[in-house]
Amino acid sequence: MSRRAPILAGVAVLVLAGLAVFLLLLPKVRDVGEARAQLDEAEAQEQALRNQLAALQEAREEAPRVRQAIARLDMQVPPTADLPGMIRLLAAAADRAAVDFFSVQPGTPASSEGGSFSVVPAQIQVMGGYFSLDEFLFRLETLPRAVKVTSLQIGPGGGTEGTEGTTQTPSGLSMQLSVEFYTTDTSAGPGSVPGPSEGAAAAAAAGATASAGG
Amino acid sequence: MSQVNLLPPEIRERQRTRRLTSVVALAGVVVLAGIAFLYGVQVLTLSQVHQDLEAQEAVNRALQAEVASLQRFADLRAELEEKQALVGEVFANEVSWSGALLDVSRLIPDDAYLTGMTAQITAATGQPEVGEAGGQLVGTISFDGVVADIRTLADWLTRLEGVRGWENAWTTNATETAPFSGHYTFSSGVDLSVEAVTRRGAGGTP
Repeated sequence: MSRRAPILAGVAVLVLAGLAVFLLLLPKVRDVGEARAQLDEAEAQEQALRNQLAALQEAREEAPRVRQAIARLDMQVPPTADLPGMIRLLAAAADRAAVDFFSVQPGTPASSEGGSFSVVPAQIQVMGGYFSLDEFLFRLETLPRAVKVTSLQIGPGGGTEGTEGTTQTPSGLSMQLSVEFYTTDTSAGPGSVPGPSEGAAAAAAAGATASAGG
Repeated sequence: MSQVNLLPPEIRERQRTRRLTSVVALAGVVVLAGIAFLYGVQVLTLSQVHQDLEAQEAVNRALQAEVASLQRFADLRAELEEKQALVGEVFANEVSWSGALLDVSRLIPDDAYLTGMTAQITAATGQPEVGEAGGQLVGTISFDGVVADIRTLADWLTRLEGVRGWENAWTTNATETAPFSGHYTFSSGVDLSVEAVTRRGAGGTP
């Protein structure tokens, strides 16, 4: 046996050990690391899902209240212009405030700047005493439908332009209001596509249809 | 007692080399066995981790299915938030005119009366002014009336300034109705600052 036999045996052992480590052991260690990372990720995902689930369960418990709130908001800004409903609300407010509902002039609805709703402008004239007018304004502010008074003008009853010769109430005050009603129907008004439509895209589509179909 | 090795030196050297080779080979076998043991441990660990991963993925799938079944409630909440934002936009810069009329009825001096009142919101719908740098004005109110004394007009202007959100009380005209009559017709007005905006107009809950 050669004297170099132990050295050769050592080298062979080292080579074998190196090959075993690099070709078998280390890849397996890497596989274990990757699998553990996947497991950690899956566990983190479980936690995220449980949090999401808890939030959704809370949302489910709140759903009746949320539906009521949505219904209330839908009433404030309805999906159609609903002019008859608007007139009824105004007339009821005038009756309760004891003012004479003299005139209403709804204007053409216009899309809002963001295109998410339409503004229905209207001019209203009522007559009554000072505190009746105040009451009427209060009733407007608390209507189930959203209405905003953008300007008002109060003067002696029947004295404003265009109302000469009309019957004046005893207290003699006339109030001219510019108000805005709102609808999510972005194509509301005469000549538009009937029914509700929402959003700028819908408005654009509706506009295209309206111009195509008249 | 001393030992005497009678083997020839080359045979002795060969035996020594064989022993050394055997030791190295044995050490190699031990090292390889250690590596094999570690490999086995890793294989077992990997198998265990894969099992855990599969179990975890099954749990996650079940949770995802449950989340998907409840997603409509999240959509409902999102719809509510969207509509709340829309209503907030609609009411932006709203002023309570009924409150303004009540304020006027409280402020008007005994020896004065109004012949006309005009009010308007100057800020556009959907463009809230509140929350930006102070001093924004959202509207104006102007009054026409008659006072029995010029000092009453000064009182009136002072009182106008006292209402929250009413700023810059001014008068553009005060004219005596007849010489030495002491009665003056006047035109006055105030600007409405963001403080005059209703709570819902300022983005609060309607």
